Amino acid sequence: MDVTEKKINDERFKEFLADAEDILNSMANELLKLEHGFKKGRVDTSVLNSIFRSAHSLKGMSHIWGLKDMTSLNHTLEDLLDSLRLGNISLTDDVLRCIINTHELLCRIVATKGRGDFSGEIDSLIRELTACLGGRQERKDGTVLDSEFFSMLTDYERHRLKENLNSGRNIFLLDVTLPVATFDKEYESLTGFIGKRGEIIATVPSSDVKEDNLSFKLIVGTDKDRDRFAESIKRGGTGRGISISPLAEDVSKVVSIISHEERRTTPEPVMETLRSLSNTVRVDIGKLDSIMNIVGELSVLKKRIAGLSVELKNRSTFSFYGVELSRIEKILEKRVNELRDGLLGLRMIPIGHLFGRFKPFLKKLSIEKGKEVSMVTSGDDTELDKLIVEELADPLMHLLRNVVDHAIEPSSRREAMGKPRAGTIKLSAYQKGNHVVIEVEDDGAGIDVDMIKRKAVKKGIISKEYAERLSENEVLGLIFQPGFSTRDKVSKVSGRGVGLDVVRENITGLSGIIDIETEKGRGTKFILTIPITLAIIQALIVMDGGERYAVPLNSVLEVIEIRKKDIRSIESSDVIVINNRTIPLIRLARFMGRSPSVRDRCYGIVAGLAEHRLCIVVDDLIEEQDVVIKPLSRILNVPGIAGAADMGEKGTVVVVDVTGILEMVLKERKAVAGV
Amino acid sequence: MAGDSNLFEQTTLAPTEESYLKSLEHKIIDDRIIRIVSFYLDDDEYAVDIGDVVRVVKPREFTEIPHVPAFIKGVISVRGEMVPVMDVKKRLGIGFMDYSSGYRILIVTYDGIKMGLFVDRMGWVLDVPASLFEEIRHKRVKPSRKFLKGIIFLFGRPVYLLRTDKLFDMRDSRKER
Repeated sequence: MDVTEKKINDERFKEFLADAEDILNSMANELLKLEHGFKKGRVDTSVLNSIFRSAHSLKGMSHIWGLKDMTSLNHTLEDLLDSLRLGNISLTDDVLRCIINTHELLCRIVATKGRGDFSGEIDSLIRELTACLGGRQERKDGTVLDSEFFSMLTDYERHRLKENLNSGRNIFLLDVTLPVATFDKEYESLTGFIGKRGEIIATVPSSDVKEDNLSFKLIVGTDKDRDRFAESIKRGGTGRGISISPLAEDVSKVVSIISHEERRTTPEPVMETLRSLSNTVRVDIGKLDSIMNIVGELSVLKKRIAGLSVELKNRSTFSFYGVELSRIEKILEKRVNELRDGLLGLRMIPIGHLFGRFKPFLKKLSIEKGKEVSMVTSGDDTELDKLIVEELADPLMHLLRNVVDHAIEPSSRREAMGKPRAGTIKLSAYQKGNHVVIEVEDDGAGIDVDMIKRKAVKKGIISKEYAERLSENEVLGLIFQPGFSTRDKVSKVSGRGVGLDVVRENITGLSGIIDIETEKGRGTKFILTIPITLAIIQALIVMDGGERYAVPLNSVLEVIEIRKKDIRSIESSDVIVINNRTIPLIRLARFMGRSPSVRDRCYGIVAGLAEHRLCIVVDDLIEEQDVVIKPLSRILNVPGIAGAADMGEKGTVVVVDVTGILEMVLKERKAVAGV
Repeated sequence: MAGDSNLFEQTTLAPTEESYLKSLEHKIIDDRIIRIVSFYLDDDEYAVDIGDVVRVVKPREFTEIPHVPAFIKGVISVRGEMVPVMDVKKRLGIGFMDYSSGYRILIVTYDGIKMGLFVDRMGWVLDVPASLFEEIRHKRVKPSRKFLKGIIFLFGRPVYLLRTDKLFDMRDSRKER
């Protein structure tokens, strides 16, 4: 590729890449539709047209940027699609596969910013595409089905023809020749007869008039096949002078001719315009952030107005104004909330965008590993903050890579175990309160807890004595340790011991949680729980040691009431048993360098970091509130504090970084445990 | 910056508006006026360069932050931004802030970072001729020398000009509390 570094750094080149990505994304969706329709034996020309347009604009764009290979690839694709939509060739499995492969290669070219060298692949694909084009089928019914013929149909007739095609009926063309003398009578009986067995879509007078005879053509849609239809006409005794030819064995041909016609009457403006294809506005997410800050300020101001209105209400002379002000304040609140939700909505994209990217990745991976893997997704519409979706790309990729490498067994072994040959990886997403849960589920080998223990000891990640004391959950947590690998040899796919620790790091960075459910021989489920957005968070305002703190709810799993006697001490550190699980426990005030008050009854906030849990003890819960986290200051980097939040009248509060605290506590305790 | 010869050349040209203004510009630089904002810590007068000053705010409740140097008293919210506040007296090693008397928070900035300084009261905005500015030559100065740009003697009284970059530099300080 002859793209210079200078161009790559160019802002406009970035724009091109983003545009290309957009187009490829929409193309992927259309391809799915096409594939889906094809499997049902139906080809929607509007879909074909839209794919054609995508290829066309991509060609133009890549040409501008001098990406010759990409241009010629798009050009060939465009040719193929054009022939398809004009019905010159029909869609077959091979053609479809070819188009999908081309799309996938285009995606890769764009992903490498045009720097990768795909010339070999491009050449072979172009050859394949051309081969598809070369295999142009002769139109059997080309003589009658030219555009002239169709131009004779009325709009309604065309519409009926389309409808009949769409409902999967056979379309036949009947050449009818009737003597002039008995024309009226015979015509009536013929149409009446056919009308009972199908629909007469159109009657078209024919040009070849022989003496004493009148010829015309009938287009008929019927559920019967050709032979049965012909037979029934014969038996009906009206078969004289009628020849029946199937009009459309291949539905797509007719449809495309119709749309070709339509296209001619309404020329597509897209072809001749410099306007951008999409009417979306690309916005730097930083700008959205700064607007979000302003919305936060508005909320604070709104609270001050609320306070003022209460004060006014209490002063008899102004109570009218107070009531009015509080009414207005309520409306303001509603609007501010709408503004905030709208703004949050702008940041949201469906996670299907991300899932879609894994399909070619998995395909390639399974070929490399010689395993059969299929991917199923659900909940593609689940929406997440764009930033979070991007942050999820890498951890999910590593996770999938590990699943293919470790969990999915070779086909032969799977068959021996009575499982289907191909392993299935199920990616699903669903919303759960302010979180999105993403599950990566496989039907592979499951995780062998004892094996994990042995390997961890062998690799020196934990001591043998320590390993004995670990619960199953804790052992499963070991696979997220840096340097952990069950493989002795490093493979191309995984085994270098990087991967799952990266997964955990990334998920933790998003204040997310990872859980593992596994059953030996049946499969494993990784459950990632991720906050929907990081811009505005819901926080629990708590009081401990006389100071207020905000605890982000996205890392809180549950809040429990605890008594002093519930707290136990193991090896000089406090723990609490919740649901049969021993969880380390800390006092928030002590962590914050204050002395906690002595009370019998207090509250425990159970928080999770990946597979770890921590109970943070506070004196009191005050309220739940939406807060905008503001970073403290660049020069104050305090572990355990995510920032501060402006609470308006009530000043500012420290926002606790639950995952940060958990990480620190874990490190301390590990040091104590002598690992 | 253009030297004196350049200035000379310009003044010999026909006095266009541009050259006239340019000559003025040079004059100011030549005469070197330092613009400062002064404030008091106890009875001594201190100052910072006016370019470093963002605004002055009235005392407000600050939120304490753990695990930070003792002279950082916490953060306050100033126009939607979290700004750490500093007990400058403690930082300079000349005592500590007495919150019972009225005080002000002078918000200064360095390298995009904002910091609130607790000061007993504000002084003035002054244009000081550079000739009054003295670098610190002798070692024994009350506030630690590293925080000072120099001393300006105004009517015989010293005004300590502070270096905001050093005030903000946390590397030398132990984390405590």
